[in-house]
Amino acid sequence: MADVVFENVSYTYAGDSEPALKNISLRTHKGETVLIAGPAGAGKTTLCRCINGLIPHYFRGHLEGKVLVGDVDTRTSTISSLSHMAAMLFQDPSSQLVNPTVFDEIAFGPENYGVPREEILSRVKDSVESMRLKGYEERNPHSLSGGEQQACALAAIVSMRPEVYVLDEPTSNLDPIGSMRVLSHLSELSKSENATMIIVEHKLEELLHQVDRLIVMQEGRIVAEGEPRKMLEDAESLNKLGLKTPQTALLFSRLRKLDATLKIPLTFDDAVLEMSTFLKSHMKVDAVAKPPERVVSDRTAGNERETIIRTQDLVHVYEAGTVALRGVSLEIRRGDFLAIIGQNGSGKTTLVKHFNGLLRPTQGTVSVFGLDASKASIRELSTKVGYCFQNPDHQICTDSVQKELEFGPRNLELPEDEIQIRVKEVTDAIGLQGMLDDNPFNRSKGERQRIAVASVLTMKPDVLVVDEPTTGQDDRMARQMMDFYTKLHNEDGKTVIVITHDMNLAAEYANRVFVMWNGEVILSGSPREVFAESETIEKTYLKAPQITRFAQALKSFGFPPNVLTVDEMYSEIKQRVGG
Amino acid sequence: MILTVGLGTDPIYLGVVLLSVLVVMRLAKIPFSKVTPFLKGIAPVVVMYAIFNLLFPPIATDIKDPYVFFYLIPPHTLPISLEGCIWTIGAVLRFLMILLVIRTILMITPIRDIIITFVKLKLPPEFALALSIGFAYVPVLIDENTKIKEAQQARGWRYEYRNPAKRFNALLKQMFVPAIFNSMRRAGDIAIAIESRGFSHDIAKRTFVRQLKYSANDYLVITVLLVFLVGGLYMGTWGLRWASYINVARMIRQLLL
Repeated sequence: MADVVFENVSYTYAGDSEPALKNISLRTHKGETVLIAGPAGAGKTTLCRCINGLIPHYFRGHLEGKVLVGDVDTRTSTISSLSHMAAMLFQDPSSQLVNPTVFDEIAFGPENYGVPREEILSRVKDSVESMRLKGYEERNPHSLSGGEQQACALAAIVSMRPEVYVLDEPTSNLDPIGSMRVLSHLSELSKSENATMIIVEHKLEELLHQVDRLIVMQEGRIVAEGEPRKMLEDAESLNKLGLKTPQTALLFSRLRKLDATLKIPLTFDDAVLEMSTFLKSHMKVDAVAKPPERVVSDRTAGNERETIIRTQDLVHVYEAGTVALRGVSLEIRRGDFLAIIGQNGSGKTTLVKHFNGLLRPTQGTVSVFGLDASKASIRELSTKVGYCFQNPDHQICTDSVQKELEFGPRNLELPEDEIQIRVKEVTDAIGLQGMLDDNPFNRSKGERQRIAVASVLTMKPDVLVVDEPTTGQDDRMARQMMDFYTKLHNEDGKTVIVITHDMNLAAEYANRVFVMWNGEVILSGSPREVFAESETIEKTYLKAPQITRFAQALKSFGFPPNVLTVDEMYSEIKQRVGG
Repeated sequence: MILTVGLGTDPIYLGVVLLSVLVVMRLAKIPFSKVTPFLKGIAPVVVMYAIFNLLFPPIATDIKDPYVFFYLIPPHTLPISLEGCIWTIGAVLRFLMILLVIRTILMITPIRDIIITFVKLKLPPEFALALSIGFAYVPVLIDENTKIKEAQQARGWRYEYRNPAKRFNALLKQMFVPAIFNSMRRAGDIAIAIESRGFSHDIAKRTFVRQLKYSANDYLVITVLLVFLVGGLYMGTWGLRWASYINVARMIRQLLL
């Protein structure tokens, strides 16, 4: 059985001065599930690439030390033979599906290895069933939803029957429903096969309980390693490393300073159980009687502010006949920090595209700063509502940051001195000084994202719409992005609309939340109002922040249903137990 | 079959063949609503093709004294002649027919079957894979191009210029740069993905799950098609010169005079 062994491995990509991996030593054992976490740029993907030989055979660079899969030194083997033992799943499902149908996709790997036809047919049948792809066999994989695509990509490596699975952020590009699905497939896989699994993932909450070992990487090194429960005792420092540590773990590791007998929970249910036992024995008598009367004050009511965007019975039907919006009526006020949450396909993007005229209503009305958005030109609306796309690479179209920032104002045919003033203002505000002459394509993803936002801001819109700015980023980067929008909101008075899948960020940053489902806004209000409606939220397969659900599960102890942060929960508990 | 018979240049004859294509499409139950957007899309190309053929018909070698209506640049440059017009009608009909035939084949044959055919013809698997990737990514690329266009429009960009040169320039700069950047990166990702699934492991020993078995009918159709091909070539190009536009032109000319 193939163990994966790293012996003092360092690796530097060609053209880089800093090594991506620094002296990594690691051994996985048969049947073990290893979770690798760490901030972006820590070297997690580089480590994965070493296992199936992409490094050193595809990526050019300098490799020191030795990587072994079984007894095979990766240096002397090939990517294709290594992949037969250690198969790899990548982050973006759409760039690994290369066959015209789901059936061919799953058969592709075994075909390449010359597996007999009958055997392939039975493997495909197995995979189709276990990954719930029945009835999809003859469809183009690219016509499936994100979660289905990744399930198909996973099925396609399961059919290769590898001894080691290397899964590089398999859910980072997916919506909550899709990542739930893929995570459940992974969990079944780790139970049913005795294969080794090496998973790189930010979503610790859903995975930790089935992981044997957690490895934390930072700046090319392994900085912490161990059994998950042990590691979570210091949840706060893990959090500081940029890991999205489960909120219950954060809470418990803080409470352990009050009472060291508390056990760190690995699952949500454990946490609830552990806490009820704890509260039953520690809660002060008078605290039990206290009803949950306290409604924590909202960050804003804001109903007196001026309405700047209004839709009335907005219906949108795409040419192909898909009904994307079914009668949306809403008001957005100046100074809102609005989060729109919902699954892919629930109508979020379709809705906001009406605000700058990229889409026109099929029925109903949209008014933006008093303009009729069904008639006003995109150009006119784009000076009111700036729209930043999810992927900056769909937007960047010039060879210098300076030109990129000038692009919008030039399209508006503004005078040259005005253009330069705007570029200067935005450069200073966003901190792009010193890179104005650089080619944006050479900058990192995070920087490209900021450049893309900057190039929208030079249009001086009153409203900034950002579409999934944090998808595929680690928690720390996501927070930096959100802090940045908060600054634009607080200091420059922008109205910000963020489309996001991250409930914790919505709860912490927004002052208003819209929940969309099936083309309708089914909930709207302050985060506290919205996340208190746990039943409605669950119907959309979204989950309120873990800490909110935690408080709701413990409502018999008088916790309010609208706790939003670990801090709040901590003080709620402290109130009840004293100390 | 239709393709080979279409080797002629006689517009009446080609018209009949084009009709037969439409009949085949009817038989294949392809609704015209699915074809009209396609025809609209290619209309500019067809018009360009027509103008080009009208201005530069290859009639000089065939006909010594064409019946000239007028000269576009008097006195003797760019003649518009009866023979040229008839040639052009034939050329356009043939062009339309070829496009419709290809469109029909793609609509009624799963991409998969086309690819297996390549495998059956013993073409290298790389060839079939390239084709397969090409087809698989069509929806992805369409989606990506829409996003790129919208991202630029959201920053006040315009491309709907009347002047085709200006329009082309705008599209070239603001659409193609991100499109090419993304495609190149995707190409790298795809290369990694197929390598990681063992594509170049041992191509000679590769298994092909999908198998195409020829039945007696298939062989019959292949034979008939080959006969048509040879016959068509003989009739049109090599020897008899049947179904040539020259005959029609001669007829009309006699009627006119």
